[in-house]
Parts: sequence; C-alpha cells; structure tokens
Amino acid sequence: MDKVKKHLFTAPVICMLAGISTAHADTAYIVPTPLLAPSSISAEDARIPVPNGKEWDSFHGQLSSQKYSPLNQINKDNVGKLTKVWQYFTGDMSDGTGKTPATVWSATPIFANDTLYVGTPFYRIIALEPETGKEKWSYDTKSPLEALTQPALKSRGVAYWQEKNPQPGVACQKVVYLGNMTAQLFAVDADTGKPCENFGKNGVVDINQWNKLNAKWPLSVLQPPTVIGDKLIVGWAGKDWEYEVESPGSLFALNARTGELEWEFKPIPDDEAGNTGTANIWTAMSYDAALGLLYIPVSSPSPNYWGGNRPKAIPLGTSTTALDINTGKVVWSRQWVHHDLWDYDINSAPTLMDITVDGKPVAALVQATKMGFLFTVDRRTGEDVWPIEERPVPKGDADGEVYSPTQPFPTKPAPLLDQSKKPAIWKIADIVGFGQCSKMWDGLEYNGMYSPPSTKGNGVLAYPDSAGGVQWGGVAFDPVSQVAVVNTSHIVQMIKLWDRASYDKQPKEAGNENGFYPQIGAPYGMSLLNAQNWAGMPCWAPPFGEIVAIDMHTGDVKWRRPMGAVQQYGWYMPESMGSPTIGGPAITAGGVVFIGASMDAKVRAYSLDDGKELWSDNVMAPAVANPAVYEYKGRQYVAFVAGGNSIMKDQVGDQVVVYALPK
Amino acid sequence: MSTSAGYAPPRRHTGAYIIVITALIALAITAWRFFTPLSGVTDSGGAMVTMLGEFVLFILGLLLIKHEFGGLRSFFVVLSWLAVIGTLFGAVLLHGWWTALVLVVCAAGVVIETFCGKPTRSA
Repeated sequence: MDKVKKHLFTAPVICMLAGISTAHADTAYIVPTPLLAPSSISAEDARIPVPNGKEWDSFHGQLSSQKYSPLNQINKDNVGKLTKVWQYFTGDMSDGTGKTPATVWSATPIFANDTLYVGTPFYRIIALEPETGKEKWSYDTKSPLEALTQPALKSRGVAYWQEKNPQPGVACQKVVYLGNMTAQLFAVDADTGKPCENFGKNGVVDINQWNKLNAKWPLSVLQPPTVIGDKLIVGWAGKDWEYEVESPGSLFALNARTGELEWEFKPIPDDEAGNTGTANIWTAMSYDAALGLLYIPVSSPSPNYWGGNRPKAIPLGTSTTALDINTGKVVWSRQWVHHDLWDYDINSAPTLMDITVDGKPVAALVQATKMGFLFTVDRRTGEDVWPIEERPVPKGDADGEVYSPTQPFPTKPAPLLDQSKKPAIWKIADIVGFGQCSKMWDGLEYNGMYSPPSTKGNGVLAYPDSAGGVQWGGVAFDPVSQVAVVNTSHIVQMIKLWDRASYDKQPKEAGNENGFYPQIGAPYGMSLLNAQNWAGMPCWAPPFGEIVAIDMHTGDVKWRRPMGAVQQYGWYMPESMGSPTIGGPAITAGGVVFIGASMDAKVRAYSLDDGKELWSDNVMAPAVANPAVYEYKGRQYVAFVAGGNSIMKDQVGDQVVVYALPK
Repeated sequence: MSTSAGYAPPRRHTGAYIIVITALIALAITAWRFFTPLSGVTDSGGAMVTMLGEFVLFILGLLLIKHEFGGLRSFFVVLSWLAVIGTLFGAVLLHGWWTALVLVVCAAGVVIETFCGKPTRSA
C-alpha cells in the first residue's frame, strides 16, 4: 500500500523537480495523477497459464493478447519448407475506383468449432473448412456499403462465443458475431450461419441506440467484440478529424446470448462530454481471468489536433484503463498522453505477461503505443515495473490551447524509435528532390515527439505520426522465453493548424490519414501530410519499419532488424530499408515469429532467437492483420488475411491464405 | 583473287545475337510474372516498364545486326548500354532474379558487340 501511495504522488513530485509545478504554470492545465489500485493478489497467484490449445478463437489468439501458439510442428528448422495448402478469395473487395468505396481488411481469421471464420469488409461472415478452405456457409448481413465514418469500408473480422456445454442440435449454442459501419452487431449460429433470433432483434443489436450525445455519425463496430465469459465487450470507431464535438467514448458489455446491455462505461466525465467527444475504444482489449480485470486501450478526445475545448484534464483519455469485468467500474488507469494533441490513440490491446525482473515474478502488462513507447506496468495495480517518468515537453502557439507541461516517458524498454530529435534526411530523396527535403525540414519545428501542432511555417514535424509507431497489431509474447516481439513504423508527417480563413482556401483533398481535415467547430482546420519529395520518396532516412524483440527479463532489445520492403509500381526497395508496417506478429512454440504487415505484400517467418528471416511468400495485398495459428487433425496451419490498407498503398485484396508443412 | 583496300568482311555479331535472344527470354519471364497472380509484381507499372526495356533491347539487337558501320551503329551501341543497365536495374528492383541473370548475359552481349567482333581489314 505504501508503494501505491508513493506512486499516487509520483507525477506532481516530478513536475516540481522539473521546475514546472502546476501551481506556477502559465496555463490552467493540471496533469492528472495516475489512478492506481492496491491488490491483495500476488503476482504468483495472478499468473496466466501458458496457452495449450489448438484454437485461435479470438482476435489475438488469447484474451491475454499474447498472440502465442503452443504448437511446434512448424519450427525454425523446417519453416523454410512451408507451402500454401489452400487459399480462398471472398470476392469482397473494392479498389475504390467504382461506386463502392475502397476496402481495408484487417481481419485475423478465427479458428474455433473446427471451422475457420472470417468477416469481410462487405460485412459478410464466411465459414471455411480449416483443412481445405472449402466454404461451409456464408451469411450476408446486407449492410450498406457506405464509408460513413472511415475513408474506406473496413472490418477487423468476427468474434466467437459458445455455451460452456453446447447441446448438439440446439441453435445458437455457438455463435459468431460481426459488426458493421452502421453500428449493427450481428449474431449467427456458428454451425449453420443462421441468425440467432434471441439476440437483439432477430439476431441484430443496434449499437447506435446508445449514441445519444453529439451524434453526428454511427458508432461503427469494425473491431470484433471481445468475448469474456458470457459477455461481449463492444467498442466502436468514429469519424476522426471531422468535428470538434462528437459522440463521447463509450464501451458496452452485452449479454452474449441476448444482446442485452449489462453495463456501459464512459471514459469522458459527464460534465466534459458535451464539449468534446471520442476517447473511444476502437481496437482489441485484454482480460485477466484471475483478477477479473478488463484492460481497455482508450483513444484521444476530439478534436485530435487542438484541445482548447477541453482545458480540464480528461484522465482516462489516451490511456490504458482496467475495468472490473462485472461492473465496468474503473479499477486503475494510466494516461499515456496528457491532453493529447497528436491523435496518439492507444490503439492496441495491452499484452498481459508474467515476467521475472531482478529475480522476482511480475504480473505485467505491456502497452504498445503509436509513440513507439512500450509502457510496462503491474497489471494488478497499474504501478510501474520500470520507472515511468514525467518529463517537461514544449508548448505551442495555438489560440485558446492549453498545454500539458509534462508527458510520461518510460525508462525501459527503450523507445522503439528515437523521437527525441528530428529524424535525419534521406540524402537520395533530397538529391532527387533538388533540395526539397532540406527546405521542408528547415520549415518544420521539432522539439521532440510532443512538439504541439503549429500554425507556423510548414507546421510541426510529426514523428512518429498518428499511424505509429506501433499499430493495432500490438506486442506478441513468448511466455516460455519471456521475449516480446513488436513491429514498428518510422513515418514522418507534417501537422499544420490553419485558421478558418486560411483553411477555407486550401485544397480539401484527403486520403487515408493524409490530407486536409476540417475539425468543424474548432478555430483551426488541420493538415496532415506525408513528408515526401515531388517523386513521392520519403524525405526521412530509412529504415521505414522494423521488427524488434525485447528480453522482458531486462527490458533490453534482444534483436531488431528492418522488416519488409517498400514497394512502388512493383519495384521493391532494398530490404535493409524496411517498410512501414500495419498489422502484427504471432509467435509459436516452434521458435518462429509469423508476420505480414509490410508494404511489399509478403508474409514472413523470422527466428525468435535472432530475427533471421526463415521464409516468405507473396500474397495478394499487404497482410495488415495478425496471423492465426491453429491445429486441425494433427496438422499445424498458419492463416493470413491479405486485405491491404490504403494508409500503406492502394493495393487491396480478398485473399485468405493458409500454409502448412508438406504432408 | 586480290582484295580491294575498301573491302571489310562482315561482322560476326555474336554479341547482337546474344542481346536478341536474352532480351526475348527476359521479356518472356517478366511477362509471365506480370500476368501471373501473386507473383509480387502482377499488373505492376514497374513490370511493364521493365518489359518495355527488354523489348527495346530486342529491337536494338536486331538493329545492331543490320547496321555494320557508321554513326547510327554507334548510337545503337550507346542505347544498348543504357537499355541493358536500366532494364537490369528494373529487373533487380522487381526481385526478378532469373530475369536479372538473363540480363547479365545480355549485358555480356552488349560488351561483345561493343568491343569484339570488329572486322579486320586486309592489307
């Protein structure tokens, strides 16, 4: 308890030591103190059993989000022999050139009930034979194919639930769930694909019925629900960067059988909710059964690049928050960005892991972030495992803005990329651009990652940008060797705030996280542009993406290497330059890391020991989701979905591809 | 039978024949990759440009066979150098390792055509 009290006062003490006591700050912003909790459960008692199943029955394989498979038939010695055993094309894709918006498909296939289930960006559920890829059934939700909240039609797939003792022949003892852009959550029988009549209204729950405040768009259910016991935990995605005031974040616990609301959690205090919005949970979540704690990654409040409308702290915004699974009440919370002005949403499920640090067992939680930080805390209490320091950060010049005087910096593991100084210019791009990159760099402010958005010059350099750092694939963990693996991107963008008169004169073309966005209601619109030369070459020095393994005994890097290759017009750049990555890894007991995630539309296997690339294959589009690893009839399979994401490149796919060793 | 001072025996054009044959082989391989799904470069602009380079090499090989002497031939030789270097670079960026190997042989053909096989004048 003493330790808890000490941490309760950590942030203010550090602020004072840094000479930036909030009492003397020239803004009214007060850095919220971490909300910690005592725990009577020892780290030993909180241990998560090492996974031993043949299934991959949730988005990240397990509710701990370790993305770990205990299967070892495929191992580092034989993975080079891996062959494609089947592929299935859903037909549900669009490159956006016709009437249908482009698709972004980031679904991890779910293997449960001796079936491989996928949800598509046209919002169909498809059940496939795990051995052959033959279609068992499909269910079309007949959802409107309109990109209402996103720049593209998106889906991250399905969720699976079953009764403890399913009765054969009784409908909906096993259920598959899929959400859509218009905030409908569908439930169908896992054996037949028929709607579950007892779930909501004829198998559909309208999540948007709870969208009551500042509702400008539907609460898009693009991430499959997290299934915990008989509860479905449902978050949603909104329309970022469009409005100042939007739907405030909310998280729903529904009954898995009926769809009835059991509890609702709101990250934004009621008295602030009318002034802002979002701080929603749009990605996967984690759960510790021994502690009964649900861990949620909370995104940033709106608008994302100006916060004058929210001068009071919103302590649960851009945080990892632990909720009591039965009540939805906050148990502990750590805010990773105070008064977020960079859209640094916490975007991946925290990875729960049992590690040994200095000879002592630690019930840890690692939260990967867009910032490239891996925050490591005790998942029972929220306390630091390695010290997390509040350090002073720069202020900006935007009208009406308040700036947090400090931000949290973990001391270990080291940041996945160096955000302390302006990234070096890629000389080749500068030469090709006839000095364009140098000139651009000179016009960009950068005093570390937390340089606030600016109205001056070219604006502020954003590194890492809002695409990360680390994306929703998160951290994979081998519980045996206690090695964590994570992929990261090195991308530079330019953020500029435009006053209304100037903004109205700008071109309004906007792509996927690249272009002009209005932040309607705020005094500023904003632009977020890739730092490229005229030829589209990145102005910053490679590598553009890496995969990193961390020894969690010490927090030190075990190995790191550039991952994948940039590909434009079919031409691959050298692999030593790496690729931006979206998606994430899976680890197996065979000592292999499987991952797609790269721009070059390849899937790869790396050695967990040393990061050596052991195998690769071409797929239809960048595989921007974690793979699934499963066993069926004694044979181990690795499944990828190759769907593409226009943040990386305009290459879409509809391929489910499965690999195994030759018989 | 005497030979006149102005007579030059025909070139052997070994290099040009190598260029023609290897350019065709490279073109076929790249075209196969262009049209084959999941080759990694299917339908890509880079593969199209590389195929164009291979086709140009094929034409240049034919022109080199046809043109024995003169400034035009020198021009074609220079173009062949540029084409083979550019196309080889393009093939490497496509990770077309077999194509690149064939184009290395093609480059050897350009070398031979440039420096070897010149007709010897009789006194």
